Amino acid sequence: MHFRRPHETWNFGTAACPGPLSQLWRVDAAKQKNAADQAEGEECRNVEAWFAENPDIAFQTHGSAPSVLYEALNTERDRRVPDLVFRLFRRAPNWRALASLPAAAGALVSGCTGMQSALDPHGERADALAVLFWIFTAVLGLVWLVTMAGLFFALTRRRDSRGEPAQARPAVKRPMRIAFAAMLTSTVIILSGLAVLSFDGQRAVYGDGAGAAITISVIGHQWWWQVRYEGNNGFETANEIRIPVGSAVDIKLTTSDVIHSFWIPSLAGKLDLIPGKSNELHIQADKPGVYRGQCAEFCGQQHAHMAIFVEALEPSEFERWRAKQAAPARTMAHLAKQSVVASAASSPFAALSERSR
Amino acid sequence: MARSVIDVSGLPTYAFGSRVTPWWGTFSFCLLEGTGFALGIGGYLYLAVTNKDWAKDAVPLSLLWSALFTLVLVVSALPNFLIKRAAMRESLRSVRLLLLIMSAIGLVLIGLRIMEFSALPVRWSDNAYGSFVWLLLGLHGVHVLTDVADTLVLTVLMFTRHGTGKRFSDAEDNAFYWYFVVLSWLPLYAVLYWLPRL
Amino acid sequence: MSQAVDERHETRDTDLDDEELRARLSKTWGTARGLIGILSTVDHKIIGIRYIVTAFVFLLAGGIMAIIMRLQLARPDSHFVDAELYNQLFTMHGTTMMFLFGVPVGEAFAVYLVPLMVGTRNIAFPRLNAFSYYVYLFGGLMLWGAFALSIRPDVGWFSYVPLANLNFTPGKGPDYWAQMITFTEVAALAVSVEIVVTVLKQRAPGMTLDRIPLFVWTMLVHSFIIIFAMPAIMLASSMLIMERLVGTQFFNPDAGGDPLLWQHLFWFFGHPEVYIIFLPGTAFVSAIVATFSRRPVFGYLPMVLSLIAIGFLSFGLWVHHMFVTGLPEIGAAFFTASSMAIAIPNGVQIFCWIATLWDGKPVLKTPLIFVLGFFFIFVAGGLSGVMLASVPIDTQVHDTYFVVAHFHYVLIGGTVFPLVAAVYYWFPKVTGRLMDERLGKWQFVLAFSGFNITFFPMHLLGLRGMPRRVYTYPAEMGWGGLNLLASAGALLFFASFLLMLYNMMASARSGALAGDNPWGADTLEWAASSPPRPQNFDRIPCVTSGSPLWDQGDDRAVVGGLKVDERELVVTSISEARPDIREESPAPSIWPFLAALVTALAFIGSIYTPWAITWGSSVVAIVLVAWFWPKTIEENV
Repeated sequence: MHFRRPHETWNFGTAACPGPLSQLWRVDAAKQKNAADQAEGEECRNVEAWFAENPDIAFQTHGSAPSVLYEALNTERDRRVPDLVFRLFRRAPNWRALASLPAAAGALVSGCTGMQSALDPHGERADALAVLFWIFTAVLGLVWLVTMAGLFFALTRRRDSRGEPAQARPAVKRPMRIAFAAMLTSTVIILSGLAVLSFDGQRAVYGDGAGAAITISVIGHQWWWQVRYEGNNGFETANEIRIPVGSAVDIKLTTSDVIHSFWIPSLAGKLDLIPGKSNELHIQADKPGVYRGQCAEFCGQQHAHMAIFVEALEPSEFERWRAKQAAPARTMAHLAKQSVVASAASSPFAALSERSR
Repeated sequence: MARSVIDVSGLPTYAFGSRVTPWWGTFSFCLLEGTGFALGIGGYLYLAVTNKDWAKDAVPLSLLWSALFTLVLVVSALPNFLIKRAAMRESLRSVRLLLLIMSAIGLVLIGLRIMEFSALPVRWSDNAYGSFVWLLLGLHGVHVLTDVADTLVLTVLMFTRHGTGKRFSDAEDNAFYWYFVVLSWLPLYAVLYWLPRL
Repeated sequence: MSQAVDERHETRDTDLDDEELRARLSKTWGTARGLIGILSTVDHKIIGIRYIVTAFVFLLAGGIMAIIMRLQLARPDSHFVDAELYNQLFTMHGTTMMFLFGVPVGEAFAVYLVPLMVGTRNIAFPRLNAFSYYVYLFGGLMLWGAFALSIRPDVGWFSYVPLANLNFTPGKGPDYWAQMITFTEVAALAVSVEIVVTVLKQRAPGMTLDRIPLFVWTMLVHSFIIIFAMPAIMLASSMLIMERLVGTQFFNPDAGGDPLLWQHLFWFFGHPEVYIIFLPGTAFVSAIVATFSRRPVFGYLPMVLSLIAIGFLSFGLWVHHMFVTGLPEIGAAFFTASSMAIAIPNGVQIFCWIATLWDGKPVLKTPLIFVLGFFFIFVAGGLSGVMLASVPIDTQVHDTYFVVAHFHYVLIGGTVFPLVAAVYYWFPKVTGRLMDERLGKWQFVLAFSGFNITFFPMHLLGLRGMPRRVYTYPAEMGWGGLNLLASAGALLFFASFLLMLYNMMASARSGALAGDNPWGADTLEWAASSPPRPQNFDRIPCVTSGSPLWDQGDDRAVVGGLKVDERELVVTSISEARPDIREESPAPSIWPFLAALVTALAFIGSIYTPWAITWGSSVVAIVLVAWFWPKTIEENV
């Protein structure tokens, strides 16, 4: 059965976007939102206060803490994510593993690896970007070291004579010019090299989406993501995208209000959602798992809470899920009722509305 | 203490053109205002290229008032040139006369600009095209207005006891700025009035 | 006109001995006492100090905003401040640091130092200078006054549309923001024009183009960048406020507009802005490295050419702020290349400074120590900038804490460290007293460690997925540790500025007496007394080399024949600096203050009704006429 996690159903913009209902009845949340603009800010403040009083709920709303049901299903997977050593052993020692090795170093600094990291790639594109990042870091780190070494020697160099006139000594001009020429040449060579690598890496950003197995429209709202599976048996979800492992997925990005930015660091770089414009992003996941992302362009008050999850399923599992979603509306209505009932018990908004009554 | 001295007591206290600081000040302001115009036109063209509905939005503007405005503006370059020359010769009579003429031309131009606005077929709030038309016309209008005001004040000054010496340098500087007002209009005229007709 | 008056006005400096000349000139160029006198002054040094002090007050205010934000982010799921306030805080922090501190502070130093360094008695257009200061002050007060009255912009220092439009952000916050932008840009543009003209036309005789101090060259290029960049933001902010107030459609995609037009205009200004903030830092570094190595900076010509190259290239980079908006591929590639190319002139500058230190005998006083901190931090920031220039890498780190780390490395490392160095370096010139060296070194330890502890972890946070401008984050993201570290560092860094404040106040009262040239520097400002008299120099110096105080010894040629009882200065030719005119420099006037006041009122009024512009501008026009109307017959000749 399909279930909705709390982070899907409760959102800060709920005055405009009442969770599952809006997805199922296809309410145009944006229109409502504009009308309810004033009220909303007020409401959000109330919600803030409410969360302050109920920290456990606030915790859930961030979306990373699975509900009890969900936990049972995903315990193993979630445990696995931070277990870096385990994963490194599991991985085949290919270049991708190499790419994430320095990530391990970075992770050690802070204690663990998050599941939303550019250095923890799980898709072709993110892999390529991580490799490019580490090449740049290595080369530029070296440049920095050489510069600092130069500065260090400049300061500690032994100086013999005293009382010289305050002018450049003629004797140093020649070696200095040679050093200058060497510096200029190497700067140009290094920068050109990096630029070429960067142009090459642009394929990871601009490669065309031909052969994508699935097309998904993602529509940004303040502050949630509407996800529409295109095609004959199209359906919608919110704040969650399920994709099959190993297939290319074409994501069309548009917005219903302000500019947002779609970013799942483990799968691909980010791309903006801009009014009057449609952008396309291609993602592909190598392994099953839940990949978190969040809006990366400041989009108003609750920008911090605009998270999205990409769940990569085994193809067979994905097909089963999709078939269930695409089932006739009667079933969906039934589901909707179910989830409303389920959420009414614990929803902050239920509590709020009760209080206001 | 031995000290060599360069004697500057014989130097003049004012001069004309790029020798004096006000000329460079005016020049710098022309640079930055010119950048403003260029960016305004850039924005207009950016939308003309990126917006697929532009051709529909961009209704051609009527040519009558703008043509008169442009004609008078271009012709005004002549008395403007004469002012510059008369100022450098420090001929008070010619400068007074020419400043009166320039003031009159300026007032006529302001009138024509008002007619131009009133004949516009779009309002600023209709669409982005309308917004840009009003913005660019207004931006240039402000420049016309400022320089005409400056000319009027200078004209009055020239008829008071202050109409001597350094005031000639000011008159020349004012004429210099007027060239900028004339020149900056020409690309605007082409873009606003002729581009939508192509 | 009586004979006596005539005679008084004809007294020349050659007629008087040193003592009397000094006294008479001080009287001619001095500032009157009393409130009117204070508000009427046109002395570039007084205005410059006001500018600097005001900018530092705003630095403190922006710093306090930063500390509050760091306290909020120190722990996950924190409720120290709420989302609404946090968004206001980062908007005010960015806006204040960029527009009210970053840009003005560089210009402030230029206003104070450039006329001294080129050997003239006042800045060009001194009344415009006074006007620009008041406009800047009123702009800042307006923004912060509105903030105190809970009218707070909360859409970021970049105010992206449509978020900044009326339907998404009702209230007057963004309007105040937009008008403040216009204010400070008017001020910045006015100062740039003054600096350009001062440098081009008021250099001391003999200061040919190749004898201009690097500091002055830098400020010249800086001013030209402002002249070409700031009109973009003035245009943009005017368009934004028109969009909000009278319903224009520039950025509305449903009416033929485009929200990306805002971004293009904003970043066409916004990227040169980085160099507008950074170049004064390099000016300080050039001056300090030369003085404390006792060598002229190695490679004068490459340095100047690099500056000009930076000036040009800074206009070809703006799109790298828009790499994730879905640009065509070829455009993105072009801006990658140009963004990387600007590393070349910057590299040349770094090389030349290090070469100067290598050749010379570095004296490790506090100013030079801060400059060493600059090298350490700025080079790192510049190199992470090369990473951001790459489109693919940018798609991952754009709008994350990696970028926050990068530009704080560039702006704090590139500008604030040299700025602190500059404060220690020129403090004795301004006050006549040296700052305490021991405290200065302690301040460096605090600032350097505090800075790196704050901002280095942010690189890692960004790579590990933490976006910018989030008011909180869930504990499970694992960002808590690094954020706590960064917050601790921020407190250290903030403390370093309090230490500097203490050092400044204590040293101004009881620091060691400095004398005219405590560091043995080579540029002309050190030939004036400390603090400089109102006339700057009793006799205008003539320059025969690029390091006049090192090369010319005591026998310095001077200019003679200027009037003593009128504000006369020497205007010289552009390239060879031959004396050309004895030009009258405007006397003190209250009108610039009044003009700034009515302009401010008109602008504030325009936030509430467009008619304020109409009524306001007629009042402004009247005030301007009063300003320029000659008061005496002497002003005519």
